[in-house]
Amino acid sequence: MSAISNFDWIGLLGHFLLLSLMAVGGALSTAPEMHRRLVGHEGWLSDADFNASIALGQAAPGPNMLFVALVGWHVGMNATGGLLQGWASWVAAFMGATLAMLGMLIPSCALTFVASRWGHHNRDKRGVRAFKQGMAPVVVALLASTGWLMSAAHRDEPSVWRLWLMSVLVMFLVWRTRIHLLWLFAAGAIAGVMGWV
Amino acid sequence: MRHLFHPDDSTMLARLLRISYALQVGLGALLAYLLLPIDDTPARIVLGAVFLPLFLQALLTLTSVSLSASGWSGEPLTKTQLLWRIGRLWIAEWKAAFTVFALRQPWSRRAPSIAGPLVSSGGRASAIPVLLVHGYICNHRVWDEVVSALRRRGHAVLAIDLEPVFTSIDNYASQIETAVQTLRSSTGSDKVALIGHSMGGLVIRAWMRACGTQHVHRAITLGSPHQGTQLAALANTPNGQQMRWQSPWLAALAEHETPETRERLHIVFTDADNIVYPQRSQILQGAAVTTFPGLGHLELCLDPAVVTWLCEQLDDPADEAKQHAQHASPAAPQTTMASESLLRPRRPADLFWAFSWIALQGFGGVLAVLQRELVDRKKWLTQTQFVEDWSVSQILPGPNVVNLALMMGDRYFGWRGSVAALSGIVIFPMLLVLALAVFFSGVSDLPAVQGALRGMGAVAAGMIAGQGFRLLTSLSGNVLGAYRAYAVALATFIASALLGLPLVWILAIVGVTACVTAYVLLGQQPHDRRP
Repeated sequence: MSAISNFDWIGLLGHFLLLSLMAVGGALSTAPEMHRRLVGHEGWLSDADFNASIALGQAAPGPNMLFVALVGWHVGMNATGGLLQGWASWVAAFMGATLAMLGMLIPSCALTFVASRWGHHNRDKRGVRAFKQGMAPVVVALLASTGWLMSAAHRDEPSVWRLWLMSVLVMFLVWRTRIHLLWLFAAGAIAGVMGWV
Repeated sequence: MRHLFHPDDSTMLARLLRISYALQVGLGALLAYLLLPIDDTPARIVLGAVFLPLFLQALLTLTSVSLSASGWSGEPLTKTQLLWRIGRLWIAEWKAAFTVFALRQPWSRRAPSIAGPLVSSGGRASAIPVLLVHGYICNHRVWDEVVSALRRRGHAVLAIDLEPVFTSIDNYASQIETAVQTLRSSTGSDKVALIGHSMGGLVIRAWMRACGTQHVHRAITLGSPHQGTQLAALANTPNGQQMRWQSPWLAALAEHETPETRERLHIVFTDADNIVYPQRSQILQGAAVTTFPGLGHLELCLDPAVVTWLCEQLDDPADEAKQHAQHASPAAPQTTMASESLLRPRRPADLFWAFSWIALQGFGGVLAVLQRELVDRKKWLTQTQFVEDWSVSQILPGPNVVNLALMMGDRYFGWRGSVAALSGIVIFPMLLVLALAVFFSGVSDLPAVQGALRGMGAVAAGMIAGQGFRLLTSLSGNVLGAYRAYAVALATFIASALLGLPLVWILAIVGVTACVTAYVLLGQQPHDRRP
């Protein structure tokens, strides 16, 4: 992949600025859109990079939205042609991560800052309640959709059936039990290292 | 074989179910190994082992639902309505049956004992003890929802296991008598309420015929074949034969029943029962009747509406009045009182460090840690304030945790507070996660690391979908109603995952439609429903 021009840096920032305002119910609900644009349309990062970003973002402590920084990191890294380019690619990767985070945070934070007092005082208003309840099923489905897209990314792997099975099993455990998520990541990592999946 | 069926620690039914599922899993693995066109042998076997039990359960449920449709009466249904109803019932009963038969009943090892009330006895000691009697080929685990709901309402609950599985219903009467006496002596209550599901309702009636009604507070039957069911024509066990449509045993039971018995009896049935049909005939002279339209046979034990209704039926009226008085008292004075004892951050840096600490503890999501730190440890918010802030931060776009941090910071120190809290929640975790990324990109060519990432990716995919499923329950109180909410969710999923449409379109079309519908429906709601 060749270097991404200046214009594309602005495009990357713009993409996250737009996504930020659509992130109702959390940053993860924009993951399908991010995947569509950055992986499918622009080809700025691979399915594997994208999945690794979400996996690390979830496994690491902190808000889930950190996967956004990792996505930006991968885009920046790819933009300069990967690790072989030395320090230039590190700079680009950090720039990608920073731009992605800023893009994801600035609009929604500005809106929150302005709207939170208003929303707080009007939480019983019919419009606010309608928005909240109407969006609830959309948010739920976007989470399921993120899971689906991440699993579909495995379609070329030789172990695709096992990966699907493991995802379904984890989905069931998370849904029905209160098992600590870190155990599940540890199990997934071990299964991967041992070559079971 | 006797030791196999009468071990000390588990019921006969649990054993039977375990054997049955072991056979299904084995057969599924074998069939998949022989037939499925997938190259990966272990994956093939696991797939078969997992899906054959699910498939057989689905087949069995579909059969029962289709057979029972012969008993549906009332207004004539069009073909579409009929298929829709069969489809809904099929999915719901399949889920219920899998939960009860595969996930619960085979694994019930403890001998059922009295479960005490979960609320402190202050003022609620008088809640009537409840005996729960399961149905044919079931055990006490069918009552899990009912047991916990009743215990939260202050009832002592005993859910018994009827043994052996196949015998005359009359033989169970003595087990009910023993259970009633146990409940009475351990709670000190003279009377006991009984709830029976399916055959359990007949067991309760048979016991009342044998031992009288002097200790019966009331008896509620859920989906019991009081007139028998046409499905039982297939059953050749003693209790199965007794439950045949219009059987002589049922006629004799009804004939010997006193008006006192019927007065205490409350019959609950569903017009769509897939096991007990003709559905609308299952009533008795002199007994009260309540209908839950559209539910399946097992759903009667699991459905939140039924569980809530049961709790209300068994609530002591005096007790309820007390509760109402508590609820009616305005929340405002409570909040003021609580906020006096609340602490507050002294300077923005406090917020920064508090949110840093919270973020670094939050593996796989921060909500639980947030609540523990801000409410329990720092005492910056009351529980109520926290829930309110959280719900506002959810309706605004952007990461919820970030929104909450912004709002809290703003409340104490204006924009400086917001910046401090936001920096706290982002900076250290971001540095950490980038360090991880650097580390991984340095070693990412190693097959072991690639494998680990692949495994963790699959786990993350399942985890995110699982969190989505978990939130499904939050839709149950949604003003859209279950059907519309699921339709919106399904449309979103198809548009996003399968068609790959841009999110703007999804929000503009599906989201706006849902919000407008919710707005209209909220307008139709009586105002006092959600104060």
